[in-house]
Amino acid sequence: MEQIKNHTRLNNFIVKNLLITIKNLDNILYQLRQNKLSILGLIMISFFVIIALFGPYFVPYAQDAMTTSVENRLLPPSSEHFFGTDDLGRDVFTRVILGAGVSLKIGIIAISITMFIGISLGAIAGYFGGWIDEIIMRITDIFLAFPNLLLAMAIAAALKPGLTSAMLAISLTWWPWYTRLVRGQTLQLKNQPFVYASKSMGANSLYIIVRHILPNCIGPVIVNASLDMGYIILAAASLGFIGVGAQPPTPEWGLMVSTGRKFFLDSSWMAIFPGMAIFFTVLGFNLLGDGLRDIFDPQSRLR
Amino acid sequence: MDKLLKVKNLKTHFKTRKGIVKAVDGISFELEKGEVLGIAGETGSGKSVAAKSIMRILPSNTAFSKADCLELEGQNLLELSKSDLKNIWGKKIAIIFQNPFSYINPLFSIGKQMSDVISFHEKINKKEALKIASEMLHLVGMPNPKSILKYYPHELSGGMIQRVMIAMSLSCKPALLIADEPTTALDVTVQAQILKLLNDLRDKTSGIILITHNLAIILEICNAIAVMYAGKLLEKGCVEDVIYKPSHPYTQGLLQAIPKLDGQEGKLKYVPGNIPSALNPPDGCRFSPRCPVSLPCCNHREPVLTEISPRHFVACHRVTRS
Amino acid sequence: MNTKNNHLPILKINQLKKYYVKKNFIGKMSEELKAVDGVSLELFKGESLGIVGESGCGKTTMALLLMGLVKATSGEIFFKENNISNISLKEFKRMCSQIQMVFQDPATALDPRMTVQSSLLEPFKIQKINVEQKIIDQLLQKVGLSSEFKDRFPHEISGGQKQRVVIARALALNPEVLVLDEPTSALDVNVQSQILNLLVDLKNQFSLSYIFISHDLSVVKCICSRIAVMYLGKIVEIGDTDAIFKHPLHPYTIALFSNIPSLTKKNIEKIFLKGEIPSPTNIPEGCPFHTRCWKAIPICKKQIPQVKEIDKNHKVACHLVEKVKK
Repeated sequence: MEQIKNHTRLNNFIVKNLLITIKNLDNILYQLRQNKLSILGLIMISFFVIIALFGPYFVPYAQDAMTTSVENRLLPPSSEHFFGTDDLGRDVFTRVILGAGVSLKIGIIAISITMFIGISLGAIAGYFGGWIDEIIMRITDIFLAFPNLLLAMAIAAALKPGLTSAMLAISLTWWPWYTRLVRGQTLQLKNQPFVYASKSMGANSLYIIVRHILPNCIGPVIVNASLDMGYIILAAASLGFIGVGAQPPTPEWGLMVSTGRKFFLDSSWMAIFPGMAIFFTVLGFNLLGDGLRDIFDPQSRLR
Repeated sequence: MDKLLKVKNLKTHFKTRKGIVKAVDGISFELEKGEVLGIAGETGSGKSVAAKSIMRILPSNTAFSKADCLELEGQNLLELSKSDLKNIWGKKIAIIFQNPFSYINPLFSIGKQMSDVISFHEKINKKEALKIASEMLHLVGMPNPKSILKYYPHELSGGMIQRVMIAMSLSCKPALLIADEPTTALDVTVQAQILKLLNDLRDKTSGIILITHNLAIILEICNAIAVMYAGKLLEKGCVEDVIYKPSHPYTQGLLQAIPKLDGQEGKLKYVPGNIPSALNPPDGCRFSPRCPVSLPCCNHREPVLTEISPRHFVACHRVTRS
Repeated sequence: MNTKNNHLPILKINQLKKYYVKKNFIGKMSEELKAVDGVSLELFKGESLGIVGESGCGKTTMALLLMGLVKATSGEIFFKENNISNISLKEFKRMCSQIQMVFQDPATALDPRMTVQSSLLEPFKIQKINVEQKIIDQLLQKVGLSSEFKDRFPHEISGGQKQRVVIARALALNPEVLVLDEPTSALDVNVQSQILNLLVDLKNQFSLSYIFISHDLSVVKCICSRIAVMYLGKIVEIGDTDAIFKHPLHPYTIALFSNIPSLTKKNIEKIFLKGEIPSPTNIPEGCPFHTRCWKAIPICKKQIPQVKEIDKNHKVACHLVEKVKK
């Protein structure tokens, strides 16, 4: 009975926040429209997501993606193979489209773990202050001291090479920014009168963090996350490129660029098309993220 | 007598997603040389926007101002280009705002900020500019002006920063000083000092426009008052006439709502309702939905400012009829 | 405007002090901010006690101390004979419903992401009290708002309406004492009148007791039966409203009153205090007001004046007043 009640309460909480977001979406889209480039970004990302989700059903050579076919190897782009074939005879177009799904999966999982770690630590550090804050921030500083791609590579190399290791490695290097961001927001929010009001009614720290602090931090976090998605996908590709991320025969863009390197002089299409896919996706997220940042900037905040 | 400022039918509209917000919708008044005019009104009346429109400091991509006449010392302010305006701001018109800390740069010392303004307008070198700055600080009653020049804003209190702002704005001897709620963020004792200061420095500028919601302050230092409501002027005239013999029902209501210091009998009075939205203002008199004595014609025809006694104007059908 | 309904005060504060200490990196104390410096007060049931003062006098800190949101450095707070100065969190949760607060800026007193309904339900949720939906309608009705405001967000309603919601929320747990920290400072004069009328009605209807903090003396005069004037963390004068307004005794009170811009009293000579309010980190020795007092005598610089009862209910902390009455 308790569990059902908790379940409905959680549902209500999520639904309520969703409704708030949808209500704001209207205004956000209007504001986005003012910035042409971010609309372009939005279109590019939508394209990417649609391809990632529905592409696998429409690819010309679904079965071909993973199987080798020696007689078809290294064919140049043609009407049968839009992007040509690779060194194992697989259709590059199909693999690029399937790669979108892989990148999206990595991106979403990695950013979710990142946000979970980063937001929790940031809220705790900001709210409680004192030595808890010190410890968390020093750990954050340590992680920030390393160039994040190198750190991700090191972690991924230490773990068993594969997609899961790549996601884990990326999450473990990307969280510090979110911690800092959320901590800053928390420091401001915890002194707001509505937080004092809750305290004066007997609310404990957990309640205040979950009910008041976190929902009000979401704006800048979402902006960061949308910008980061692009970089995370790029990082996953980089890890795949050096061989510590996705392993063959997974159709991952970075991995495809890496294998294509060997054949670049004669069969450049193997590396170029996956490379362009990375470029297109990261650019799209960047443009969208920039536009969102302009909107969520406190100066232009919706009244 | 030569008028310092002539404003005729000033309108400022903002282009927003939901439509056009008519923040200021046709106000007219004149400021004589040596006069202190108080523009009174509640939040949403459009008084701050009016002040900024006169100064032409609203962003040009969203705010559109037009007027039949907007002249300062005979010069048409609407025709000025951006570069012309830069020469006017600080030199011919100066403005001080409500929260002094928001309008001073926290990164630079007082001396630097003041001397920047002075040397830009007067075209003199920094040393001479600092000398003038020091004199101005002395004028506004700052202790140790020379050492204050080296201070940073965070080292001074709100009242002191407001004095610095007044000094800065008067340093180039502007013809018109606009003060937008200059004492609202200050304590009572500091407020009294600042108001006294503004009064004492009246000779440093040709005219002052004081914008506030506090009618008692207007009584203290202004000689003329204009009451603004939903982008329109409802009553204007000499301070004694309007405050002691208010004719417009809104002015009367506003004065009655102020808690009296000497004996408040029973409940506080107030004007029920809210200021109408500037997006869709009501037809006719803007105040008629809330007016306790409105006539049927008030909902259709907008009243115009009519002189009911020397220099006392009211925009009200009921008053002009009787 | 009756003052004492019971013999015993509902709220009693005894020599309350709150010092904020700033330590440098070695751990030695570098700066001590004396926000509240030895305040003693009593609040009786059904009365409204005003606390007036300017910035730095410690009135907001007083509010936080009374609400239990900050811990006092020393001194005691008694609520109905119970010492609530150093209670445990559990105890606090139990009795916090008795004293609730109304804040200055209604825009920040409500969580911008919560509807009016959620904000009003919050006290019950935190206290784990099961309530029915209709309690929201009842609360809204108490403060003069219709049920249609339930699903609105703070940014969709006006300042005055927001403040009514804040008041409704403060009343949700049926408190006996309300601490109001400048509740109408952020509002226009029309809206202020409505809110003040509402507060008076609620006080009479529900037998509430108010601690009303404000810098606006004209507002305090309408709603408070007794007034305490604070300066740099100390109470300099306290007494019945009428008595204080007719015969202010402390020089600071006299100066404060003379500085209020008034529509009617045009002929009062204004007393301009010299200098600025000293920083609470650097409170002058002796009487904290002596640096700006035009009547200061040598003893004011050395000795802190004791609070002496001059008249019935009228107490002042000033060397000069003592002298005169002698």
